[in-house]
Amino acid sequence: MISLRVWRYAVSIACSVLALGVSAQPPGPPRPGPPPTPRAAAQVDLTGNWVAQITEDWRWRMITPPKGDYASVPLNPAGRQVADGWDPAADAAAGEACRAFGAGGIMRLPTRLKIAWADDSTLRMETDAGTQVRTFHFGRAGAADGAPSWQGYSVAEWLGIPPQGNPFGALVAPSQEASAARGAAGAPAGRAAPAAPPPTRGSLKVVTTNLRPGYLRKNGVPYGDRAVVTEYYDRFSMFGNDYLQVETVVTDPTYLTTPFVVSNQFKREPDASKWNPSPCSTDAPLGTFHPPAF
Amino acid sequence: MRHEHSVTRYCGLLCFAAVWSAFAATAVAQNEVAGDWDQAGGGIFGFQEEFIDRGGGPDLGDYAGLPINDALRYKASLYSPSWLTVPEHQCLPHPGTYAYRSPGGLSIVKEYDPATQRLVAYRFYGSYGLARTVWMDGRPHPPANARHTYEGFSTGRWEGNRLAIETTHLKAGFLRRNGIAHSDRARMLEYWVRHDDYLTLVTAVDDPLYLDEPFVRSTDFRVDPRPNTRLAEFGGFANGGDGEGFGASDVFYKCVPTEEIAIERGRVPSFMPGANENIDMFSKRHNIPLDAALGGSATLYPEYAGRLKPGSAAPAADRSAARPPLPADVPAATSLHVAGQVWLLTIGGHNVAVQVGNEGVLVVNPGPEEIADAVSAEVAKLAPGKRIRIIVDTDDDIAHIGGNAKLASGTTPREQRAAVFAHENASLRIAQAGLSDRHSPTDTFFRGTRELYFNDEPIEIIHVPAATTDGDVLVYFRKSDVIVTGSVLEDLTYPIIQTAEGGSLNGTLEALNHILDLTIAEYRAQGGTMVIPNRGRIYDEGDVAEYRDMLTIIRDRVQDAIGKGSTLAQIQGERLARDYDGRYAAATGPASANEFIATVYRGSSAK
Repeated sequence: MISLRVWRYAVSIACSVLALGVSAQPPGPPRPGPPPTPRAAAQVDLTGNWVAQITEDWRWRMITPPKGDYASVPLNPAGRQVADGWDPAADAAAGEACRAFGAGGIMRLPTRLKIAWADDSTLRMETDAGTQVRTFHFGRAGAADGAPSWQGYSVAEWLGIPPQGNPFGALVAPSQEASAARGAAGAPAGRAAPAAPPPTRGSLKVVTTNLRPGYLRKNGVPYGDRAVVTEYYDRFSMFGNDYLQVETVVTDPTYLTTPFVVSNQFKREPDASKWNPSPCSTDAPLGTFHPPAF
Repeated sequence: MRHEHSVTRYCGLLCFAAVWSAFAATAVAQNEVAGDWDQAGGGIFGFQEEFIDRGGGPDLGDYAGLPINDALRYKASLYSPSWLTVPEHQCLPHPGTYAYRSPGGLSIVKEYDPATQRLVAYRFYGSYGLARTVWMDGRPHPPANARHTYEGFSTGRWEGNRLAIETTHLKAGFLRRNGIAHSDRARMLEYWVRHDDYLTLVTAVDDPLYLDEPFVRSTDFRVDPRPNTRLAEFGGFANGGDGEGFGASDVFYKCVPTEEIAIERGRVPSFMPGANENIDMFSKRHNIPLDAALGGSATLYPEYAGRLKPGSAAPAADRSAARPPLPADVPAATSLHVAGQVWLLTIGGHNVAVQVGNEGVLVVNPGPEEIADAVSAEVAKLAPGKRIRIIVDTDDDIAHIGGNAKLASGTTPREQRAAVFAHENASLRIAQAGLSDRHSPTDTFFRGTRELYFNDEPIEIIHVPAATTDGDVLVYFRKSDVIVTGSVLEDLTYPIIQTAEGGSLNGTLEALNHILDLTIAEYRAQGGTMVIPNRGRIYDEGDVAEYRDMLTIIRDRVQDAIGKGSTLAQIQGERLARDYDGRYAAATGPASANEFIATVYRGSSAK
């Protein structure tokens, strides 16, 4: 019969071995070469042609809503004052016609997207609405200097796929896990790694700063130059269609009381045949404003 | 001894540290969805998208951006909010396709198998909605003829960093609270994905009857760090309530239909075609072209914005053609437990109800003769060694009584012939049809109800006069709380009303309302009394009400058209029931769109 003392020793030794093993475990399979590029380590393939589906907030997105209609946007008094003073003609005259097409609002507009890799660590997104270009930089936080712009400076990172169940598995970094899945990291030099389908089960996080003041909605609902736009990009396949989902969180100490959180979906298109670039412009409001009553 | 303790303590700490560090590493990319969640904007009505739609409610005629087809546009345009005053609808919950658009927070709880510690399910609790279970244990979805619920039947799996869920077996329910509703043929796919402290739900609802393409939308939540989150809602302490139970349940979960306004039994409020003066409510309020306000796939996409520019031509009516309805998936042979002692056998598309108990087996509508052997085989599986002692025919339809002879005879000479019950009128027609005596009922009745007590259960055989024929009966198993309707209630088609055999439109409606008098919903307009229709899936009160509504609304429209002087041909040409044809019209025969309208026309004219 095993005594309590022996049992305690056994448990202690087992714990020690386990703990040391975990601590000493290298982060993933041995990798002879440099870490994979962001493009190679992609958790989700976002490239391609996408078109916005305006199934929500249609009245605020498909048309220019009336002045003063900022329902559900958490504006502070300063924000409301700016929104109430919106003058699209003055914007245009001042060269500010693209205020509604900045990073804080453009993903809400009826637009098409073209997403492609500019290089191994830069993802480029074009919109045909307003003919804007957004550039997502991987691994270059802190480079947000220079003049503020409509699209600001965007830093991107992959959000990995934590393993399910086994906490020890989390010591494998997401990028390494993706590389391992692709077979690239462990492939001997000179031999082509087996092709793997583009992954679709992770997310892209993009944080954008250094923005010019812009609009969350076309009718002058503002965000300021200190706004930070955090976005999460995902891809989903549902009923045979491929969707790009973007969750946008805008924080702005100038005009918002709390973060403004919205999400938008885009449907994949087979090609760019419907691409229709247009300059920044804001139509006259179509609707009339009625304050919400409840 | 002290040394041993120190070693043990040291190793334990080391072990803990290693495990903790591992968990800490995962937290960087946390994707678990379980926990308490608040609206993204915080607070009960913290919506930052679809504020009006999700809050006070949308205007009538606000369908912009919805990929609806003409059938649903027509249906929604005739929707009256007074429909919610009908007793069977007063406690309707938000269906699973809409539940998370509601105000308040959301709690997601993981449930483990206590023996294996494997994840069995996620349970979702949200305000207004029902507690919903998403099965994670790999179980299959039920067969097509199983009952539907407002939350549907959901199974989930992890796909990378997101929880993917498929939901089937949905009841018809709102997609938007102004009459835009999906049918019970809808399916939903959804993804829950967590990013940092935000949780996003993306849903796609596909409905071959009412949508031209899947309807995709998303809902955002943020971590709610408060303890007792649900108590903070509505009736909770924070809002002046007593704080008992789930906060939201105090106000919205306990629901009993009441008579707040006088509404006559069987009345179903609905606008008649052309009579909804508020269909342009949204269009007028916001100065949006009516054609745009009435939605359709085209209104989702950027091209449509160009049509809305001031001074541009009115948007063209760009309505894509409705997709052809999918045929109902009728399994070859299934046995489903309905409730108590009652089972549903579905063989070759025929519903055969079976009560099994100590005394033996009771069969309602054995089906046509060609399935009798299959019925016997299924009964033998359900009740080994027991014989069929009672058969009830709900009418004289050969598709119901064809198996009488075989099933009543038993398989050995010693077995006594089963008693066969039917209404006298049905029995007379069976005799007139020249069928052999072995098909004929042995026990008939003239008065309203025949009572039986079998298998320790009271059973009522209830005559419903002048329904689809003059000999229809319902069979009500009182202890099992199951009603077998026979031809009065069809799931797959419009009712087939045999006016030559004494059937009538209003009698069929009266029979349906009588079923609704008998049924009692368990909770939020569903569950409780189960109902087995002539064909198709298991119903409950909510489903019967949906069918009754359909028949009532079509009758009212036809009567309205007759009152305006329309002929049958004109009414058929107007396709007054086009919002229901996709669901209930047969390709040919008396349940086809035109034939059914003709039946309703004759029934309405004869009133």
